Amino acid sequence: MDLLSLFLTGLHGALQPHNFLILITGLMMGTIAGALPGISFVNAMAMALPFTYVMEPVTAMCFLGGIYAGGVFGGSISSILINIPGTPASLPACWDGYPMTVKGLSTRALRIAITASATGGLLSAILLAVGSPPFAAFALRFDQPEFFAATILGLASVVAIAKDMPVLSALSMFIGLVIGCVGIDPHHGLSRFTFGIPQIESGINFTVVMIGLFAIGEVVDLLAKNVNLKSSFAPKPGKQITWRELWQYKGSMLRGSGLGCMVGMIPGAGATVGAVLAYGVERQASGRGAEFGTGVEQALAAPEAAKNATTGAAMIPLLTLGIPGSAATAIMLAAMLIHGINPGPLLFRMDPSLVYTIFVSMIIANFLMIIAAVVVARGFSTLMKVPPAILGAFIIVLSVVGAYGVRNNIFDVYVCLIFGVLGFIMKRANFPTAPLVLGVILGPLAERYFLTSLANYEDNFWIFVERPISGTILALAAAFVLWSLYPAISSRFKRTSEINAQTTQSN
Amino acid sequence: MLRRSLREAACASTLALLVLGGVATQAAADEKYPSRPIDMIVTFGPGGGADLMGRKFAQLAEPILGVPLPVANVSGASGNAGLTRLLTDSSDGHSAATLIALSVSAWAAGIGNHNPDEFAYVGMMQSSPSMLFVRKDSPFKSYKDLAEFAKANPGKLRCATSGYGTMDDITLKYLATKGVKIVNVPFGKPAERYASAVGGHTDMIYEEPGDVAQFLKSGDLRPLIVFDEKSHESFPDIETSKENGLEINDLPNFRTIAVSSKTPADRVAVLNEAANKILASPEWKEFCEGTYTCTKPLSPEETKETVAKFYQTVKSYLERFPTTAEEKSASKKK
Amino acid sequence: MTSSKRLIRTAFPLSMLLACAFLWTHIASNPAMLNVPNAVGPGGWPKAMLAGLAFFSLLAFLVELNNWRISARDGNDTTQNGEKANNGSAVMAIAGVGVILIYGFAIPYLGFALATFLFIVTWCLMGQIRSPITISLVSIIGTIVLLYMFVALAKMPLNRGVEPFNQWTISLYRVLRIY
Repeated sequence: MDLLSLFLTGLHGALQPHNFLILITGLMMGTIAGALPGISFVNAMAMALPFTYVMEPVTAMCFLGGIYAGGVFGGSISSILINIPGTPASLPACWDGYPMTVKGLSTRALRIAITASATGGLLSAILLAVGSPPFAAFALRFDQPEFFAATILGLASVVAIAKDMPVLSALSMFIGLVIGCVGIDPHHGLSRFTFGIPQIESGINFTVVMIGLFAIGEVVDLLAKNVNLKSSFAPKPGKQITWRELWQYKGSMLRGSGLGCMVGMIPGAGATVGAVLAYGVERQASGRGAEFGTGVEQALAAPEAAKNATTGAAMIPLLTLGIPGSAATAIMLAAMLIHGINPGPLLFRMDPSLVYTIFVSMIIANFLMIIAAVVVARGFSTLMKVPPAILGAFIIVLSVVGAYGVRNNIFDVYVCLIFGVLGFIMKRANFPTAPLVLGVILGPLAERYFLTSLANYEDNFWIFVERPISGTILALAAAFVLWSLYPAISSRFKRTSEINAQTTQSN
Repeated sequence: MLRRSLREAACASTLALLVLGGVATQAAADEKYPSRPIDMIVTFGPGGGADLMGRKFAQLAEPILGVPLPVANVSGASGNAGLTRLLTDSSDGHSAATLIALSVSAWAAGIGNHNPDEFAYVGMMQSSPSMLFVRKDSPFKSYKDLAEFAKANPGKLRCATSGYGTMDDITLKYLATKGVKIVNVPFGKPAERYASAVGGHTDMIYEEPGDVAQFLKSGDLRPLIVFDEKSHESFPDIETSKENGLEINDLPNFRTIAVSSKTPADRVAVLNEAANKILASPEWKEFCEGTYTCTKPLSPEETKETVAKFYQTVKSYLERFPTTAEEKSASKKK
Repeated sequence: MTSSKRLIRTAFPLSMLLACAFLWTHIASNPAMLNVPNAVGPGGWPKAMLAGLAFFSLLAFLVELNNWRISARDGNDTTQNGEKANNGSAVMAIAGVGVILIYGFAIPYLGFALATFLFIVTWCLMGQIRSPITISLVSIIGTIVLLYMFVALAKMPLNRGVEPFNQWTISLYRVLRIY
């Protein structure tokens, strides 16, 4: 099938009424969840997971893709209107978006944020659609050592990207890696860390861990704080912004989008890192750096574009290699595995219509996001009146159903709840939880690839560096780690910074 | 104030519960079987052979039994998580599960503490011998070519398998005793196993034909030898292991439907009758021909006999080939 | 940074270190099974991961000790950085965790339907919602919608509970036309 007909197949799939409606539902849900402080798009996707069990795989991906795109944007609504970031990725939107609201320019700020986010998301979705097929074709040449190297690159960058707290990130990741060893080992059939409990033989599923860490901890926090979400004053809409004025921020938006696309592809980085980085870069590039924080419009446009630009790019490693780089894409992986779909280079050959439907849906999602954003922003004050307790109760129930549904096993619910408690403790101590989840996901993959490589290549440990592609990937991973360690070593025992601790959470 | 509202809430909730539950008293224990949906537990994840079989069975059994059979995948521990679930559910015949050769051989290897006596068998649904497959451009045209090459170059050939201590491993170890030394390369995920053979990263793959049907139909893989006494109906030209003087013809991949052994015999009989009707249906014929797994119907007792015999066979093989310390202690423990 | 947070930060790596020491000797119930001649074997990877965990736990512990030392020397907590701890009520948080745990562990006994209904009621009460009408509506409609969604539509075999509750759940499903 040639490219055009593949895209037409994708368009056909994405415009099927049920897929299209589900995509809109997902966008609305995501935007609302994103706008609610304390519920990030990751929580929303974890909550939505049980619903995808009923759906066709394509529909499920449209749903999750919609929540992802909408949720990453949604956080900015509350950032701009009430100065509380709805998701961590929207933190930069507080810095320059809220000052605009204070000045009485809330509609203008929202317009800029929506346009920038949609631009970033759209460019990223196009990169996904154009970039992943050739990469998947290249990845067809990968054998087990290459997959092992790619997994190691993922693990290395999880730690490398957390520049503020590499030690804690590594600690969290290794907890995940150890958890990944639990259960029957892949080659010998030996039960590990089971302590004679038969249910543990099935291992600890990453979806269950993820739901526990991301959903339950947040809800308990919501209950304890009993936050009053009602805004203290009614923002004045103020004057609108014209398309001509928006056009003059194209530089900021493109810079942000480019940066977001790059960051999105790196495993472990995600929307928050993209947005914060873009803010920093824009401060240098715009020439108005000194005024940042007072409501500079470029300072709002760039990080907004960047954070949505991570969405499509983050799906590239997921679809082409089957290696998720962030919590959001890990949930997508879970939804695919539930339906027996294994993402990876072969997927592009075996089920191109699924892949291209995902592409087209992501592109459409970023257009429709504008509508969803406007609707949610209008109804924002009403939304804030929903008692958090009711919301919390349903998040918990859906988490339980989601954990149960992975393998229809009540034991998984217990595991999920225990991880919920752990997640709550870790959140309170500002321990990053995302590396733990990635450890649980990537650990078993790495072990399998490692052992199978050895069995296939006469127990030669050098095989990973001898093969050119895997050697290159491993060198990249090593460079990443060294680059991230450099500042930590040079300023060792000067306090590790706490300032950005929160921004690396759960993304 | 708080206490009052608490009480009010409690009252309202209790009332609501009564309304929900009150109407429910109509449901007395009824004798008709099946009287409600039968939970169909598939003991492996979606997309595999057991999943296809379980879903097909549920679909065809629904009109025969008159109740739906909702399918639930309860995967983990070589199918034992699902079997444990089956045994903990009520044993009134409203829960059934897939029980396949892989799980039985896992018991023999010390995974999952079940044994054939804990189950009653609805029937033998599918059975197929395993085969060795090579890539379409492989230099080996027959098992003899392969054996000669392996004898001349011990340890040069690599076979993709599902792990150590499995039927795959037993077969390779048996071949090694005949001088045909092939390296076992385990792949945890079936999809990776197939990809390695199709992509030429390994030289051959040990599998039942149904699981690689799509590669057989596309011509990416071709069979070399079937491990059975008689040749396979769908591959009449392929040599059997017996013809090659090998005595490893007793490790078929079978799939049964099982219920708890505590299930009343008349209910098992109802299910067995349904299974026989399904096996005779044209839909099932088409399904089993597509997966190369057609088998003749067996009574619950005959099925149990087959499973128990297979269990003993695998155990004795594992005792015969205890090459690792791990397997030695595993076989001693049993 | 509050002291409770700092305490967690110190105690957490330490407990991980202890857990590593324990797990190292308990990889498999029978350590003899880990020995596979001339191969990494089933024990190799977990051991490497445990070693990594132990290393970074130790490192995190030392970093945290150093932070204690610095703040003790400087006399004030410089890391506070104007960030005000808004952790809310600790009692509420612990109660919340407790209720969630009880809910999860009650599902196999009471059945999903009953346990969920009771949980939603409890959670609403804990969340300062006092209107009996809101509570009953949210819990009843919520539970029924969930049942239709996941039992009727998704055909998930959610637990029906142990005997008296099993019959009750089956009757409820019949009333709701799920069965």
